[in-house]
Amino acid sequence: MNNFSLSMTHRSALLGEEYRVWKHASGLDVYIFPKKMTATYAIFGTKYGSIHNRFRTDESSPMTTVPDGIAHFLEHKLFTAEDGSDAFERFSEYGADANAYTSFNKTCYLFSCTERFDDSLRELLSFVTHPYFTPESVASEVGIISEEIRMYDDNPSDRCFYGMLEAMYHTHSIRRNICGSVASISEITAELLYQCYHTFYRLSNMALVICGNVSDEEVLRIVDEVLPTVPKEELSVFCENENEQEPPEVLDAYREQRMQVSKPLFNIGIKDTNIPSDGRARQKKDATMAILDEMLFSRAGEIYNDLLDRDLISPALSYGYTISESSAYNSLAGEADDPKLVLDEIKKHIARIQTTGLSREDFARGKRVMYAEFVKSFDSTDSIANNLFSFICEDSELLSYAEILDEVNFDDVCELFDHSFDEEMISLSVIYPLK
Amino acid sequence: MTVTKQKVSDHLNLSCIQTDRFKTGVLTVTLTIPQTLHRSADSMLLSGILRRGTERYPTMAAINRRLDDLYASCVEIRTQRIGKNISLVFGAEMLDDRYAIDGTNITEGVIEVLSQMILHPRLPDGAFDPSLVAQEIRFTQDALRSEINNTKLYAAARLAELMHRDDPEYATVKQLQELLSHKDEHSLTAAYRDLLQNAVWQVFYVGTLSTDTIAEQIKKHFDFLPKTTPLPLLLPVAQESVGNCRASEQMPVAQGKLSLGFRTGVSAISNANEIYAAMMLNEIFGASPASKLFMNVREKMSLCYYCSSSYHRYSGIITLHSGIESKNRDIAEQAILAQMQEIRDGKISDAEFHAAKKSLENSYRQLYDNPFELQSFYGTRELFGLSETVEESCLALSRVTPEEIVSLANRVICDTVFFVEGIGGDTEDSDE
Repeated sequence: MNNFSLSMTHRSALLGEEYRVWKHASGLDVYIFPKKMTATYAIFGTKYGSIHNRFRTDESSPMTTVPDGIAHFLEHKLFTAEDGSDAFERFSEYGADANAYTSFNKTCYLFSCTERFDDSLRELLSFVTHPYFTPESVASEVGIISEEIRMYDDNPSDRCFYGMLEAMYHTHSIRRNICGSVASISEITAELLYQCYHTFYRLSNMALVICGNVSDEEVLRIVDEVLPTVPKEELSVFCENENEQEPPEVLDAYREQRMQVSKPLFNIGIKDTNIPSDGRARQKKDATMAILDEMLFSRAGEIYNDLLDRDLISPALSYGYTISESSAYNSLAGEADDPKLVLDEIKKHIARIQTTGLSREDFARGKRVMYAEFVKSFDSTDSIANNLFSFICEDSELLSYAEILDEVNFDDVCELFDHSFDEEMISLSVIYPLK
Repeated sequence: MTVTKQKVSDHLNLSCIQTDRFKTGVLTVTLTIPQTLHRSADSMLLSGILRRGTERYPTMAAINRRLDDLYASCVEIRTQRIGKNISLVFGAEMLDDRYAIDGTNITEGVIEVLSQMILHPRLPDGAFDPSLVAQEIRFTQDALRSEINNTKLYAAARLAELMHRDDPEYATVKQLQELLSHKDEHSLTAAYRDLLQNAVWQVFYVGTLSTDTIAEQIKKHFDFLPKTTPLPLLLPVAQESVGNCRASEQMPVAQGKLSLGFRTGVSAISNANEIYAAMMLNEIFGASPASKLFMNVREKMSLCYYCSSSYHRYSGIITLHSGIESKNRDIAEQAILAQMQEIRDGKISDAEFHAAKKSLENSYRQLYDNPFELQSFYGTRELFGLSETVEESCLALSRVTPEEIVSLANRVICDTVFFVEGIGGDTEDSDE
């Protein structure tokens, strides 16, 4: 254990949960969240996602731009080892269920298991730190990922969501599909994959999160066994915070596409470029907006029930606020015969509430709902590990979210409400049926 | 984790798993009845209308406000087919009482809301509100039409219909649309009473409270339970092959969908001694990343992003779905069938056999971490008098031999193929 130092223990008396953060000599942070459940869940991931496609490793050199979808391509290719074997085969041998995913700002490799945790963890740490790409293996993956791209291209909900991002953002990389396009992935080469790998898969840019019935000693012993015990000489990496270049107003207020759907789908996006740079302040904004959304759009609320009673929307209406270091937006998604009318009606409701004021009763209910949802999220090793990794990427602390929720008061919500629904920040994306 | 049972009334059985593993509790009330065409349509409407208002909570907003006050408790009503029966499942998930900051008795509150939804729906003039019924019919028709939004789900639904082509009580989407167009508040109210009267009732709870406590609360809030006369359920038998069927459709999408249906002759009831061999066969064939389909059709041949199979234990069928380039249809179909032929020829490596067993054991053991899946595992088995536990299932799996899998594979018949040919699918940006 000489190669580790305990950097922090986080506890929540409310939840009866705690986790510890260890710093390994390699530069990797290891998060261990003990949980007495049957399955143990592990994520080894990097704070590198689809939006990081422009970077430089020297402050004075020009920016390198890589093809869209390369982070996701890299995720697929890491599973293949130099001897041609596939990490999936070894996880299967140990009885573990392995997978990986790429989002806008992170790439995660994971497994869950009910036995032979040691072997699976060794495999996870090993395959992610041993890239092997050849022109042939890159070419063979193009077919698989092209089919994945076509699958998402055929998905109207996915297209509608990206339509909203494309309408809201002028230049931000979040406008671009995480998987890239069939054309962009054809530009990916083994050299580019190595370049991105060495730039972003630095252990100091990564984290290991374990949640389950395991001891710290067991995890740390394996980390120490597989990873180097001295930090590699690392490149400095500079990525732009694209929020700084992004105007507050949306690019287009309206965007429509036509696909095979039975009834129009819509996504309403409300852009927010007012993003606190401090992690805890972002968390507070996230909590405040979550309560506000609950007050305005929940199925217990007036807007939803009015739209439904008047047959303006189908029953399924989803909503949520997303905030990260470089982008933030509120969104509402559903089905409606006339999405423009739905947006007009929502604007009218909001204008009316701006006059009458928000309800304290709704505030108490919204806060209670968010508190309950937070507690409920600690019932599976899967959701704990994934949430914890997301908080790490956002430079925030998971367990303190309950305190932050508690700190949010009615005035905070009212103030946010006053600045969050300006006309020029709203985009409507619609998928209409084919003519 | 053991299941304890208690009879709450003549026809109401309560099953409980008492555990402090979770911060949430789960309570489901399941009403199961033999499937008919009409009941399939009615149950879809009931799953919506029973959420629209009760005697005490007259609107959906009022029900939702009450559930939010009970710490964001959720009640979902869904329909499910189990063999040749249909269930209306009221599934509630609630925060455990110990997390109620103000001492609210959350679980009892949710049981009260459930009793309102199930036993005391709003019936002005003795029937459901006609305008709400008309709206629910529209919503349900919309939901059925929206199947085309997702070609993957569309292909799965078409294959299922084709696999059940000899079952006169299996409602296709077209039949459901036709049946729904004739429903009204009177037919739906009659269907509701038919369900209460003739269904098998099951209540299942997973959480920190004791069986006695839950039984008491159920007795208190389900006091108007009608005298029921449950119809005997139809035992799910494995379907026999009824000849080959190949169907295809063209759609304006980028990716083709190839779906295949196999009959194993083995279900939870018929030839049940081979059920674990059937599960192993499916696992080796196409259910995991170590399967023959994943390793060969996807990884080696790069023909698809997904190509996987599922075994349906109550009908004994294996369904397989893949997303492919339409021009590769024949190559993909041959490649898929070649994987089954490998198994028939006994070409199962030790690694494949071992991985399949481990994967299934892992899935079984992970049930302990999911209260909904745990109740579903025990609840559906209880319906047909099956009593195996999770551990007994793992033990039975460990006894399956490669020879049994090969023997079964040689009796498996692929008799249904459905293909969606993608023709285009480029999104049109409108001019506006």
